[in-house]
Amino acid sequence: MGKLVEIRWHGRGGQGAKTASLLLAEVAFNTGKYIQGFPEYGPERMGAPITAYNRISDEPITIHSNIYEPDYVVVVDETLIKSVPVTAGLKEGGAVIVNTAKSPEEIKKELNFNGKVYTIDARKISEETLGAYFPNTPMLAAVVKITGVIPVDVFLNDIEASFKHKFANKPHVVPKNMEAVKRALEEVKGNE
Amino acid sequence: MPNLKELSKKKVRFTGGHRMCAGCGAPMVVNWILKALDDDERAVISNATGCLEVSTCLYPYTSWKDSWVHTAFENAAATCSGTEAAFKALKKKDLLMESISS
Amino acid sequence: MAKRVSLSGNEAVAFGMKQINPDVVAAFPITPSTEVPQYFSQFVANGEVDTEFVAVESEHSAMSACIGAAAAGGRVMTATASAGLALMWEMLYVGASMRLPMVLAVTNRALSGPINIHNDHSDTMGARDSGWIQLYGESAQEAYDNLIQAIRIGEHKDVQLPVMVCYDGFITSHAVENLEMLDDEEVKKFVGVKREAPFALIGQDPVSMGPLDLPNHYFEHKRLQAEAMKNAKKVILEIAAEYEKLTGRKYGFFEEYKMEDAEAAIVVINSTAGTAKFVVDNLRAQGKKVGLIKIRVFRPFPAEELAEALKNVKAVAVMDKADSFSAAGGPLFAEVRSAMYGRADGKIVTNYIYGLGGRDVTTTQIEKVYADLFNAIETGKYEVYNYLGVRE
Ligand code: SF4
Repeated sequence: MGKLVEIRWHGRGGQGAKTASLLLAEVAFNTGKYIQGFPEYGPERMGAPITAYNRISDEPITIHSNIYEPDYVVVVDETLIKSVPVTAGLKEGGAVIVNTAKSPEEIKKELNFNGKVYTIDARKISEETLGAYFPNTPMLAAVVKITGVIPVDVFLNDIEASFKHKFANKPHVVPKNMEAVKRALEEVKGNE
Repeated sequence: MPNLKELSKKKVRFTGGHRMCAGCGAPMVVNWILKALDDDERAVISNATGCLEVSTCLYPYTSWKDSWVHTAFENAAATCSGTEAAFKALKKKDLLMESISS
Repeated sequence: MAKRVSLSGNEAVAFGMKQINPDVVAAFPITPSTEVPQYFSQFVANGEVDTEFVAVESEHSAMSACIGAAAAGGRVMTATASAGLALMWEMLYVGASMRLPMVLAVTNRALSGPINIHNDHSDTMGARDSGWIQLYGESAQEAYDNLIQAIRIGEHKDVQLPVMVCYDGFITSHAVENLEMLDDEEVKKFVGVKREAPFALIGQDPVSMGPLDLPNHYFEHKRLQAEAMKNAKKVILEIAAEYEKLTGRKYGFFEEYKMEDAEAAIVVINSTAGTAKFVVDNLRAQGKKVGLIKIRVFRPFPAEELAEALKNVKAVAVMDKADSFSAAGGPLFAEVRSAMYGRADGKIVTNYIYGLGGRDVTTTQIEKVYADLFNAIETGKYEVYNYLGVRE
């Protein structure tokens, strides 16, 4: 991947879309990429629609505007599909990744969108592996796989190391988080 | 507590020749407040804008034998809080000159 | 050895302050600068710095305490934005005229009213004549590099002036990007442990600072202050050269980007320069002779050097992220056009006020500016004063 990849995240305040975008920036950074991760600041009350952005490239990134024509769009909260034009400006050949229990076909219809659609049930995965709703970890894994911004094996090594660091005081949760990552990598499915 | 006679023997830290009105109470008050210091101590005085300030430090003269600072009208205490913080930090870092650090 | 890190602009500045380990930080929080004193007070609480942190009740008091600390001979830093800077106004002038080196990190944010938390340059542009040196930076890297150099510039014996280090609120302050940080030891060596204060409240001899200064002396003191600002030009370049040796990163009064044979140029400040570089690259790929000048040092203003850099262009658009409501263009425009007068005459010089209150600046908008310039070169017809990206 030589060129610039631009990703736009849609979520709701308090759900961690901003954190997820920063995590993606971090894992890409760790593999030697140039990165940007930034939210669009607005009223950040819990539940309000929020947007966050990533730029990832092998070259230094100088552009500092928001992203209007993303390569990928990530929807962390599927209820946003009804109120926010999530696919606006999405590049031809780009893709949408939605956190939902629905199939890519159903989402495609709801979005009224002709491009690639991927779905991942981050709720189910996180509840079954982590015992609570933490969509960030499975979403991150799905985004890494679909965007290909970094190789999956590199990602697996890196994320395991960062879980070990982050959960140094409770090492028993590391395998659970890794399980969430691996399931997301397998279960994300697409419709072209 | 020392009596008036003893206090009057202490070092004078605020000299005459300033331009306060003859008979003004303020210079006297300053003189007596500064007698709270021991003779070997040094002070930093923070002074708000006002008669006392404009009349006692008119460039290039000063009536103050201790360090004295004036910045503006409403912030003598805030200014002094910074000076105190700098003193603490320089002391902690062992960067004060010997004559002061004791 | 330099460390490759990913940090937000505010993190980079807070970590830079930690490496500098100043004597006193007196600060009051304001969006989007808040994180700087917030992170820094954690370093203080954890004992990672020796700094005395003064938690004050307003920015006016923050600057007053900084002045008191700098007058005492301490090395002093603080941070603010927007209305916070405005509340410091009275004290900015006092600090500069007392010739006290201090470093103030400003995350540029629009001034009220109406209240707006987003980026433009109305805050620091308003303070441009306060007597502070002003350094601007495009990215977290430049904010960090400017911060470290600012200590040396302000404290130089021929300068003795306070320095503002300005970077864009949210766009730079809150975006995570790649940068290189120096080792703690390298920073320590570069800035030195102690500020050399020629006189200080807590110094060899008692001093009186901040006297009443009447017509027979005031003017001479102001003249000396102006001379210090002139001296700063030389010092800024010396410190930049030293910093380049250490880091390999080159700094001057401004950055010239693809200016060699440029016919149409933009002059701009802070993060928009990055977006404009992207546009310059694209237009260059189409064979268009475009260039860019990004101002780093706004005070002192590098008038001669800038005129020299613009002497071969045909048209220049000066972009202001602040209006001065002069009905004759923004503050940067006024400076640039005045700098060119008599030195680089016969050019088309236009002004674009843009991005006020955080209005996002897109590549399309910047393409339009270059298109306008080429159109002006071809037809000779153009508007001098323009507003970019606003609904009319
Ligand atoms: S306070 Fe001022 S005006 Fe009043 S007597 Fe004293 S010097 Fe004179």
